[in-house]
Amino acid sequence: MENELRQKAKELLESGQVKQVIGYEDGSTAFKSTPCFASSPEDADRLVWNPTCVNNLAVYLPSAVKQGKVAVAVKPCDGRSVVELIKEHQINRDDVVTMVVPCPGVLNPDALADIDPKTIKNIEWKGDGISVTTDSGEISIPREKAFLDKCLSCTLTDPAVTNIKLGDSPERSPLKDKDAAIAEYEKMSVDERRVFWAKEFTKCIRCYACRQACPACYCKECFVDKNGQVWALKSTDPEANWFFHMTRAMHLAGRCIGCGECERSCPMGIPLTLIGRTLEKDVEEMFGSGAGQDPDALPILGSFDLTKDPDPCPE
Amino acid sequence: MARVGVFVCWCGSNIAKTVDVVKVAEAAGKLPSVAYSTDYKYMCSEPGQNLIKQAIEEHKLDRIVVASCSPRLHEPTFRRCISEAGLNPFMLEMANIREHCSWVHDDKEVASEKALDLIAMSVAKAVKNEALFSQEIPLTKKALVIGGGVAGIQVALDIADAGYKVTLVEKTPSIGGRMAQYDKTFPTLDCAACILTPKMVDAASHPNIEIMTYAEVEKVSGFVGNFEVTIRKKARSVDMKKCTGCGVCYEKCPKKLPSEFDCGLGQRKAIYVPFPQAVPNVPVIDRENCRYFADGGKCGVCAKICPSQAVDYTLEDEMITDKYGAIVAATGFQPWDPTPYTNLGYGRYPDVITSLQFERLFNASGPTEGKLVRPSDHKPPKNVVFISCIGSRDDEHGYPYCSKVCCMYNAKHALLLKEKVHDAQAYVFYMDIRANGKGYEEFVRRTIEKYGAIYLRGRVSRVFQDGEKLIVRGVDTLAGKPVEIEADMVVLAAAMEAQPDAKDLARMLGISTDEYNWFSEAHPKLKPVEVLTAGIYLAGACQYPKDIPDAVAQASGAAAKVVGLFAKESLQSEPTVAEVNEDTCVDCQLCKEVCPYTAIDTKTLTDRAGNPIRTVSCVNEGLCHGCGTCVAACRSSSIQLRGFKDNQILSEIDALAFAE
Ligand SMILES: Cc1cc2nc3c(=O)[nH]c(=O)nc-3n(C[C@H](O)[C@H](O)[C@H](O)COP(=O)(O)OP(=O)(O)OC[C@H]3O[C@@H](n4cnc5c(N)ncnc54)[C@H](O)[C@@H]3O)c2cc1C
Ligand code: SF4
Ligand code: SF4
Repeated sequence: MENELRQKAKELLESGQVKQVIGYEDGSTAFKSTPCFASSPEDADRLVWNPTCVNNLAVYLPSAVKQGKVAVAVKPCDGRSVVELIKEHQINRDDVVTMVVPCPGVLNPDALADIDPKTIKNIEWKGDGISVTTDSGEISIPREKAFLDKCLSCTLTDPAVTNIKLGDSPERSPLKDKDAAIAEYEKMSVDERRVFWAKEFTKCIRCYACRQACPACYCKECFVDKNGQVWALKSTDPEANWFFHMTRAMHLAGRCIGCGECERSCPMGIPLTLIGRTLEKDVEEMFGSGAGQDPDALPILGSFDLTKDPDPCPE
Repeated sequence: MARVGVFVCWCGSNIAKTVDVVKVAEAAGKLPSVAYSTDYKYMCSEPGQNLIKQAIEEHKLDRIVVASCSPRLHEPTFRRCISEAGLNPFMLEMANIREHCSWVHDDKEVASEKALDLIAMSVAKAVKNEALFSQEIPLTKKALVIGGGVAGIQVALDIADAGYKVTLVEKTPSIGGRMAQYDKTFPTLDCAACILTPKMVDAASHPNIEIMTYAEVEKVSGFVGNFEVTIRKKARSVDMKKCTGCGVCYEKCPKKLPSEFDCGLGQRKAIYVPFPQAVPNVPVIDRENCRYFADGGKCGVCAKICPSQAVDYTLEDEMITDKYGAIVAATGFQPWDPTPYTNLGYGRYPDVITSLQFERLFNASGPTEGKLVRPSDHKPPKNVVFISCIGSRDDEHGYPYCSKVCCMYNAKHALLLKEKVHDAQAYVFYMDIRANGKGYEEFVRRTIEKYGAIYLRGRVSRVFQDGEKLIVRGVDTLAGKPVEIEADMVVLAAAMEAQPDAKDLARMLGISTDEYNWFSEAHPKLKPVEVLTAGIYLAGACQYPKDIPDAVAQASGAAAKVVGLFAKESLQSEPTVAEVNEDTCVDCQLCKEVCPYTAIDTKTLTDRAGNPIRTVSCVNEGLCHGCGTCVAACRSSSIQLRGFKDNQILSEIDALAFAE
């Protein structure tokens, strides 16, 4: 598969069809890969595809397309970000070639908790889980432990913007319900939730890693960075933190595709995907549609139809 | 440093009774940036206004807060007042301490505190106010009327008589609309042609009216005073200038087709005028059915026979683009197709017809030349059953609304039946008789009492053919028993429904429709001829089922609005509209998608050499209503409403939240 990916990337670069291919390459350690920006056929040899390819590369597209047409390796989940970016006019459909990689699931770092990281040599898919090669031999980790939560409940097929399909899509047999994570949360009363979030948001150091990792946070100037129209303090005041996260959540309603990059990038371990998924569920229930499906769909804020309003304002 | 003046009004006792105005004015004087404050009995009165003007002069005030009633009431007054004293009118803020305070509280202490809070908020906002200027918008004093029925004709005549140019666009080959199909009209039974035809001719010969028939609106852009409209004039295949209307072409044309105007009861040719009094009296070729067009140029009879060489098969659709200051939609209705009532046999039995077909059957210029006969065997009918509410007031098959005119034309038909066929008997099945109009109830009573129509309150369950007769089974709910009538003819009063293309036209005009696709007025009671888009008005049955008197009245109302608009020299733009910060706009186009007035467009920013850099949103100030929807939607606060910018609103909130 990796070879097929490199081959395709080379073809695209050699023929000049694209200026750049965005994919993954080996990182500084064997348990992390890093984004690869290949602009020559030789660069393409660095491309890899293995369980450590976790990043949602769609985040680079809006700036990358400014230099010319881009090919990007996307997992079915990340492909939905591409759909959103097209829908929101951040990239033109014609400026991006999606190379959809077959994804059985990507690495949950917790799976390696019992292994000395220095000894890890290689990680690959094996059976329905992964196999980790260490100095002292090979360790198999079963699927339920090996992959991220989002992968265990994944039912996604090829995204609506697929250009090149690499390999065969793996069978989807979700181990978990998509809403398992929020089911617990939803049991909390409103007051309990308030206490829960107060505690979580107090941890926030306002590094904005969540925002930077998010493919949907592409504003040139975030509301929270504005001068002269100060919506929330820029310091780590607990209320300002709260305000920042809640406003960001509102800005993502109907647009969050649940890639989980925000939570993964948060150095303070705030469970940000909980917000995203809870909100998405509301949107799905109220508007009957989810993010990242149809590049021609209107954004939910712009698709309001009075005749379908379940709760019209009284005259 | 801003120098704010605060003027607290007593409003007689309206405010002073519950708010300690003197103390509040004193306290307001100590607010940051306030250079002067005072109170007065009636701030809006002449002495009150003079007080403000003097204070501006004496204390060098540059922003004014008037604490009084709702800005709805006196904002224009005080804006004028401060601009007379040399300030920009948008340097005014009003704190509503009447409706929002004194009228809704009775504890004087608390109300006074709240009044001060409201004033503090207004002061904080006023400090951030910027001078705003309205722009002069040119005004094209020419109106477009879409739809040439009786309503559209009336609008066109009224506007033209006031001295302004009008273009009247009609989809079919002739103006006249539905009314042209009728023989007589309720409640006075004047002959429809006698009252409509002169109006049609007036419109055609009016120097200020240009009629475009066989034409449709293709594209609309712009805004009040400045609409740009593209009209497609469909190829008529007959040169309007050469044709004398002699009619030999359609006499000789070999191709016969069912006539739309006669609701399929009569025939027309492939080259035709829809009815003898058509305006303009120039035929069109129905190219889909013409032999010349079907057989690659074989027939050609009409061109050969035309004494004026007016037939021209090479004519093409013509696109005409022009500017208009106002648009009136008068596209009327269409009769609902009663086929879903399978139990009534429409479409199955030739003598079950609709009311519109019935109109054609006793019309002197109709397919039977006014002889009332049944379609099946051309014998005069004796027993005729009229059934009301076909598709009206019927959620199941048709629409829940009442079509409003059917009760009246049923009575008209029952009466005229008796006049045409003296020994005939009319039966009318009805749910309620709705005859609320001048002379309407009397008309129905006359039909029953003098013309012997039998009215049966109840529904019909079934109509079926039995030899020569149609058997009508129904129920008379007043007598509480089933009835069966042997009828010669059954007439279905089909509902009026919106035109099939109403929604497309609405989208083109940027106006809204209700759940049944009727055009929505701006306010059901107080703005019945306006829509939410400035410069567009409604007339006639395109808004909701109407009879002729109502359609004509609304038409004159719409014309008055247009004439009122055109009486102005130019239009002033409202400066409190949205504005895009091009530095931070990321062109997500959410604002464009949420704007209910299609006021937002995309534009390309270029460098100094003219090379495109990126695209951003831009606001058409003529179309923007200042509703603020875009502002709420924009995630990066890149679109702001002048006069209500984030920093102004946030200052107000801060003034309230951080007040001691
Ligand atoms: C059977 C029957 C009998 C009736 N009898 C009476 C009566 O006796 N007395 C009475 O007061 N009322 C009567 N009415 C009601 C009457 O027909 C209406 O009140 C009247 O026709 C409304 O006029 P209008 O101009 O609004 O619409 P219409 O008469 O429907 O005229 C609309 C015109 O607009 C044109 N048009 C439509 N769409 C477009 C477009 N997109 N572009 C350009 N042109 C377009 C149409 O071709 C048409 O010419 C009767 C109705 C029916 C159904
Ligand atoms: S919503 Fe805001 S950022 Fe998006 S296009 Fe409009 S002004 Fe620009
Ligand atoms: S203020 Fe309202 S009308 Fe004006 S551009 Fe924004 S959404 Fe459109």
